[in-house]
Amino acid sequence: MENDVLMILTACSVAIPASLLGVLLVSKSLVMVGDAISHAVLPGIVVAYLLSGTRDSGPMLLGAAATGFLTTFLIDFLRRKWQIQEDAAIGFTFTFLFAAGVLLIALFAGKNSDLDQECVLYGDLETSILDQVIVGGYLYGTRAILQLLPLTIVLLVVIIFGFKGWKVWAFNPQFGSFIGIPTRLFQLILMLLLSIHAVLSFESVGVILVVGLLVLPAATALQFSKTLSRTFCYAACIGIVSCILGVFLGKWINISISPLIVCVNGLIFLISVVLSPYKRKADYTVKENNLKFQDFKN
Amino acid sequence: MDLSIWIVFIGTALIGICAALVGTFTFLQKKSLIGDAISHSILPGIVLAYMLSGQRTTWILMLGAFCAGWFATQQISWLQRKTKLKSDTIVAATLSMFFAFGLALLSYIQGRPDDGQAGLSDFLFGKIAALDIRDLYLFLGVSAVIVIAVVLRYRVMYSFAFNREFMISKGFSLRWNDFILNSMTILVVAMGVQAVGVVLMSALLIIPVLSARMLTYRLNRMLLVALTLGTCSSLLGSYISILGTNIPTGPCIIMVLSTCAIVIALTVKLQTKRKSHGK
Repeated sequence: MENDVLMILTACSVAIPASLLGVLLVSKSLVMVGDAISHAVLPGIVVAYLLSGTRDSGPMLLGAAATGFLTTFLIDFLRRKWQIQEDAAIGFTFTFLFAAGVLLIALFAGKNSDLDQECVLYGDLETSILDQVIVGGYLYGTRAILQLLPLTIVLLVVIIFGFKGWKVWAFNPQFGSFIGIPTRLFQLILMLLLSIHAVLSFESVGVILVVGLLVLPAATALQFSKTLSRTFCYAACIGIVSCILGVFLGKWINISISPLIVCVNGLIFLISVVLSPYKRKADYTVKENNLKFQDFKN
Repeated sequence: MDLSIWIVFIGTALIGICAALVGTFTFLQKKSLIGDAISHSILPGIVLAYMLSGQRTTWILMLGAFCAGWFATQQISWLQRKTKLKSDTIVAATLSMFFAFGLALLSYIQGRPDDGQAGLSDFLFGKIAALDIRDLYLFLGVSAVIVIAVVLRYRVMYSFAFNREFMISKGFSLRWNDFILNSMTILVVAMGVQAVGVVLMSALLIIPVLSARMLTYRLNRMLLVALTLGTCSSLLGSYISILGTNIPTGPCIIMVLSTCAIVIALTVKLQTKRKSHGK
């Protein structure tokens, strides 16, 4: 029972900041950039691990922040300087960095080290709760919780104090730069927090499933809410609920938990799409896929 | 040279050719990330096909992969019709759902006592050395289908890439075009995951075309460059991964490809600089 609670708490500590970050990404439609960053922190982690020889979080955070910046810089550079369309620039950057990371693991991190190719993919929630912090006989929590808690607090502070700024950044950046809001700084902060989150959650959920935790709660919340602040609250709640369901389901069927959390999240998303009160009205919106000749007549 | 090495080389060459062919059109129609979504969502198809049939014959796994990819594209277009979410959100949501489902299934069968599933996690990063002669025939068939489809629909896809509104006003169906392009992408990805793995397959669709685009703006030259680049680098990458003992094939191919792309980009930049200095 105590293990279950610890597991739920660890999962939630990953999922709550992820869903808050996800709302920002979805409202600015930067989701694929987020996906790219969570893939691309891998070479940073591996290089930091190989250089320092430990899995301490200090060097890893540095490496990850560096690769996170490298990714945003590369995508931006490819788009601006070489006029490559955005989707291809993203696809090139993250596959290149991810492949570099996997090759580095295969070549240099030997068989008996803690890093291997598959744990990178889907992490291991079950073993990450064994890493407990016990001071003076009292259990304070797992290492993942204690590392992600400061990030969550920082994120909450940043969101609450800069709420209007985020709103302007997401929905009307021209107006923002007109009245003197540093929108580029906002974007930079978001990317920095995103890469830090990707590193800290790497042991529990791996680098690929993070994108599910980022985008699914936010997409679900958007089905029911019309304001940004409500979207934040709903997304966090959905993240927590799916963690709890995922942990119990995983215990029951006895399979790996982190993929299951994302599955449950996806199921909630599909149900919410069916039940959503704000559906796309087919009468007045013309979607690309439904374009017919009639639409061009007038 | 052994027969099995020849099989591996012909197999990778076929994958490189088909990926570059289809990738050109997905790139031009700005759908590169659909390829990424499809390649991730193929995983549950492969695992389910293995669970249902109990064997890992290539054509059964490819059938499962095809079905899963088709479901994923259907889900993407359903969500695009039903919700107001932007298309990148929809693609990312679909991708992560399918991939998570695949991983959950994978961890379920890894918990079972029989050890037939041992090679199934090779599909994550690819292992080309497992190819045999019957797989090669299958690959030949699939690539023939793709090449014929591209040859027959070359002009239509070309026009859709550059002037979509004109084609729609001419009465061509956008849905039918999308359907054919998606099916070709799914076929290529289902074939390529054997060598490159589900995680990095999208790179094989994007990078050759991206580097070809830097060199030229004409479609037939671009196709030619992309084909050569895709084929050569997948051959070189798989050769390197066979030489080493513990090198996964997929990342190796992608590293060779991206190195080529970077070299091409740098030389193009240097040349244009030199030209502008001469003026």
